[in-house]
Amino acid sequence: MTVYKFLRPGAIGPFSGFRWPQPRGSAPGPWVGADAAPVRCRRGVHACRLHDLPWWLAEELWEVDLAGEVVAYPHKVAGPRGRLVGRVEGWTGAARRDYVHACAWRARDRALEGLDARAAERLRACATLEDVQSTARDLAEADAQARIALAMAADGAMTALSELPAMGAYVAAHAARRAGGEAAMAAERRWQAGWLAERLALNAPAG
Amino acid sequence: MDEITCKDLVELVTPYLEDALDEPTLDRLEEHLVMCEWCVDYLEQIRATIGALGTLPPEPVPERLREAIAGALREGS
Repeated sequence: MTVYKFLRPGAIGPFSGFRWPQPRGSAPGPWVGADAAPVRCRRGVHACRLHDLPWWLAEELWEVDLAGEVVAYPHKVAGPRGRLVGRVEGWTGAARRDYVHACAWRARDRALEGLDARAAERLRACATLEDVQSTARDLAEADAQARIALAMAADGAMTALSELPAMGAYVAAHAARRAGGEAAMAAERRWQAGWLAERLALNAPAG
Repeated sequence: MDEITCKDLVELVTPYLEDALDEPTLDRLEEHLVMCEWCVDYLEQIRATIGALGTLPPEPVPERLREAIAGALREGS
């Protein structure tokens, strides 16, 4: 089964600290793991399907083969063994920046939904994320009811300006959740996954 | 639990490491860990501490302490 995995620079597992053996030339890296069945967060090789990607963002994205009986969880899959097949080269600094900027504008749009016409017009008129950040903060001080949504819009802008894609995606997802509940958050995560799939020309898992 | 803060994570780290969290809480905790390097570091420190303590041999209880505890228990009964 071919899936994906986000890693820290140098192909290092974000939580495990495991340094993955990398592919050499066109050959995949060596298999890692054991034959024992995977246990969530404990044992086995954990990876993402396309729709799981926004939950696990990190600096490097790799295509991964999983072998053995693969177990599916709500936001990931795990198999007894896995290997790195190749790095997704399109997940560059520029792609990460574009992604978190897109998320920030969506968090801004969520905040618009709860504003009165005049405040909405001010926030909608923002041409830059710097403007979004400062305007949302100003408006939040005057509008107690929309304060949290506006704070999230400002936070979304901050994550984009600081180039923090995982946090930006999180803010946009939770801004959606606040506005429309779990279904809206799931839809926002799907949109984020779609953005990544399209930009990076990723295919649905095979095998 | 709606969202997990860094403060919440400190409370949840033991059940997390003991695999005792329910699925929704585990989802939220993992979601937090992805975007919070401080909490990843904290988790690693706890794991390292558990690992280091696990390799220590048990210390014998000093005789005087043993007698003091036994005496206190006798007096209390």
